[in-house]
Amino acid sequence: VATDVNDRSDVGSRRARARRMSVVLALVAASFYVGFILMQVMGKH
Amino acid sequence: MAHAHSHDAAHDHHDEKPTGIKRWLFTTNHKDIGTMYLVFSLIMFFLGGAMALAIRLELFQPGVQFFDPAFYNQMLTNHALVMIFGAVMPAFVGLANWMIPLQIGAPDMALPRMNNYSFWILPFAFAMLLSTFFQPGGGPAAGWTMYPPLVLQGGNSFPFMIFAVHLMGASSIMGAINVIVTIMNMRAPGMTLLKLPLFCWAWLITAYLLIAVMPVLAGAVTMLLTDHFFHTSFFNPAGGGDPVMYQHIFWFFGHPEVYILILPAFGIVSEIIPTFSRKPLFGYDAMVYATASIAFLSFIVWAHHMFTVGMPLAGQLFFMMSTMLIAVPTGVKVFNWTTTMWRGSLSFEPPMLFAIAFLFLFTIGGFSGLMLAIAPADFQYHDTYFVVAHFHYVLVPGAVFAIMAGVYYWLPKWTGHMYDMKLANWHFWLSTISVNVLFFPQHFLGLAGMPRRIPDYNVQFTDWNVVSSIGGFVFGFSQLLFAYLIWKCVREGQKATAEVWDAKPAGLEWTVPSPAPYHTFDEAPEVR
Repeated sequence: VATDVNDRSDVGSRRARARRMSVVLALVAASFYVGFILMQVMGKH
Repeated sequence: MAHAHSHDAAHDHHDEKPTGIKRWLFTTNHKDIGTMYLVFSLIMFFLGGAMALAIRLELFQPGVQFFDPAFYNQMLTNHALVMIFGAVMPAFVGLANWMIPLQIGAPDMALPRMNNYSFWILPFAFAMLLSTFFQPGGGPAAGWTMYPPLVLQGGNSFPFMIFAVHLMGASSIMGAINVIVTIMNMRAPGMTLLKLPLFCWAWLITAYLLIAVMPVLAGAVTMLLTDHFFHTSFFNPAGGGDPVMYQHIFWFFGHPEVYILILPAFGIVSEIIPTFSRKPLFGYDAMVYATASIAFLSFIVWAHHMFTVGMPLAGQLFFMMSTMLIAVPTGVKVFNWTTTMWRGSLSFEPPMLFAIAFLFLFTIGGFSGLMLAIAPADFQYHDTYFVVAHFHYVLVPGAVFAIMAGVYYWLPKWTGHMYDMKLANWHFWLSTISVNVLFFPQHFLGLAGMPRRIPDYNVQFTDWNVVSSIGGFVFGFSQLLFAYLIWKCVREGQKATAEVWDAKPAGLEWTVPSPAPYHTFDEAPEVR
């Protein structure tokens, strides 16, 4: 993830980027949870 | 490390803080939350330690003398769950909360409200887990690995344990998201990723591991729950399921979890050794890449925990080789710490003593890990006390000593007081000697064939068990010195300067006064 650490002026965009990143990370975690269960449900028995 | 200018002296008047219980319940301040995590983890450390002492008391002599075997199993299971999820992980999260914003020049964590939630979930999770001791049938007793079908016979405690594990996982994931978002978005101007303090690097990588594997554990225990209550057959062969599959899923979480417990420790030690060697860290970039390599490799070694379950020869070879490969980046780290000390102007303050003990004793745990990685040898060692000795060397004089080193390093920054050095030295020497008396004989017991997870044993194992238990009691009671020292340091002591140590430590946290003001870095410092 590109982070312009020298950009102190644009607090709003940094806040939006932080929010976006948190949502993406939460979705990654949720997809691992669902994915591992689905893998078992759909596996051959 | 870059130098920085801080404007905090001009902002001391910002140090007003709320008072009373509301301060702690509703706080979004990273320092308050860090303190709560650390206090919580210390309480859990003593609770888990009391269970460990119960185990060592029972094992002092052969025969069942103090506890019913079922209760022994409950002690053993909860000792692990409490120590891993209640003591070590929250201690690292507490250190992260306190130190990451201070080290990167940020005013707080990026998601302060979520930070509060992720802490306050924990007391409820552990209250739920430990309440099972007072229910009919007692607490969970199938080991922290929760293997089916044994765990499904757990009675009333089973759903409580599963829900508690879900809550601990949710707390860890929220904490991990917070760490990543903070480090990626809130670094001070000029602090590029390769100027990041190694504690932050280690935590950044650990946070990615947490996000990848905690949901896998949650998935595994959810499937246990549905097998038990909703008649699914994920792990039940009678319905077409496979209990071995649980072990694969569990260890896909479990092995990276081991690195979750040790990578932040590497970060702490990488901060302390350069300070008290009065030299910059040798091979900073290599340390970062080694940490990332260890994290990557942790995903492809899980089945070394289950060689004896049975797997194709190609599988055994793959997991054996990949496990041994981890010794390479770990060796790079041990080499770099040693080289940092080489020809340094060393001094042996308590944080450095604990860091050096970590270096030696963690390496012993690493070596026994290599022995266990050899599949044909593992067939002999598996489920013996050799394994117990191995992972306790990694986790006690490894992770726990690193936490203590970190506390001794940063405590004056938190409290504004120097602590009692004499007492800290007593704590160090008693802990270091007794931890070896406690765990080293367990290698001999394991090699002689003593199985783990049993309350009774053959008389031939008596002598080393007596020695181990004596070590355990000395180690356990020595930790009271640590608690007393912290309590004393919070109340009184010589005033600490901003830099705290004569060794002139590098890093932004040493540019703010001691104790660190309630609000720091309202204005971002410049990092050059």
